[in-house]
Amino acid sequence: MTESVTPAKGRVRLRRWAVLGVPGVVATAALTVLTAQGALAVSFNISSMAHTINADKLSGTGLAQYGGRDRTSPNNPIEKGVYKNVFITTIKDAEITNLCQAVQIGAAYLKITAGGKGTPAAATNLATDSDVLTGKSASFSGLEMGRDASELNKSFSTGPAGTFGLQADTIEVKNVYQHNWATTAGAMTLPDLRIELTRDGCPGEGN
Amino acid sequence: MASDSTPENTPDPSASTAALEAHDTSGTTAHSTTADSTAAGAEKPRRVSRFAAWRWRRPFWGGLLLTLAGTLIMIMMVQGSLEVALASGPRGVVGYILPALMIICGVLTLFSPAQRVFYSIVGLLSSLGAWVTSNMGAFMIGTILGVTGSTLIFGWLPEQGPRGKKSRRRKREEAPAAPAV
Repeated sequence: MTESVTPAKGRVRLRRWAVLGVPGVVATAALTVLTAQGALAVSFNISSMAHTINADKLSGTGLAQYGGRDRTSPNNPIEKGVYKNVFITTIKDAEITNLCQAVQIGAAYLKITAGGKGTPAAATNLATDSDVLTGKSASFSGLEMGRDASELNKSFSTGPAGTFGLQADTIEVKNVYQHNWATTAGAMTLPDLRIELTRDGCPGEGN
Repeated sequence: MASDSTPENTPDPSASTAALEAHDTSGTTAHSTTADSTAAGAEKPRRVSRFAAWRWRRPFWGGLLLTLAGTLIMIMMVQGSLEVALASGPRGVVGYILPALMIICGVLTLFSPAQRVFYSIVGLLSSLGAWVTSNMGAFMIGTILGVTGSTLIFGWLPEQGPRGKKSRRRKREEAPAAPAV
């Protein structure tokens, strides 16, 4: 189908673009810089993609841990709607030194590092659904094991009734490695943030 | 914008913005309204597909980019656990609202381009907000696409003459010859 009359063509005009474009670009840059300085907290809600988290040290207050089942998305091309047995760890306030998170995308890794230069990364309401969690020298205080998962009260979430639950007032783990199916963080500051697409994942276990 | 009113009566708001832009670039005065339309009319009539004609009448690429950016961020968010997001407070819910706003603004820009300035500003603010609430705007990509898309929508003007300096000179030459209506 054609129209015989030339319709008037609209166009982007540079000067007019700049009226909103310049503040927009400046604001984007400011957000990036503020996040990289650890001044701005960002939220995360990642799921359905297996990813690893490595850290030199994780310390937190208000820990809860219980079992659960995650289902991968029915649209997931690799694993269509598969149930994964996971254990869910939720921490009210966490500080993570030298955080490195990697997601595999094809042959490359999307790698996010933060908190490696003095100031640790901090997260509130951190929840991870993992199937592997390793660490060197973990120390807990106020540890309660075997409490019904639905009655946990030291963190911000509870598990299904009638299942095993664990909770603690404080936790400190060194050389953490997690293989996660989901990660959620209510507010997270990421000082010395670096996002890169590389051929190799995080150094440490699991890679 | 209103301060730059032309003496001629232009009932169509898009025509008056076009006049303002022509005024900005060429430095001519009120005559540029008629000059602009003359320049556009001087083009040889070309046969274009209906889809191309439809695209020319709206900020197509900006609207498409903004829609795609919102969709990308939303896909990443809906795969996350809504339960945990709700447990982690109001901030978790906003993480879904902002990409939804981006999609709505992008689609409405395509189908209701007259309100594009409003959509572009809401789209820009949502794209920036999604950085904070939704996985850093799908790890930067969504925010960058969204900011690009919404600023392109804002910068778009309807019924522009041909590109380049040549057309601008032609506009200036034709401006005095244009009959005053």
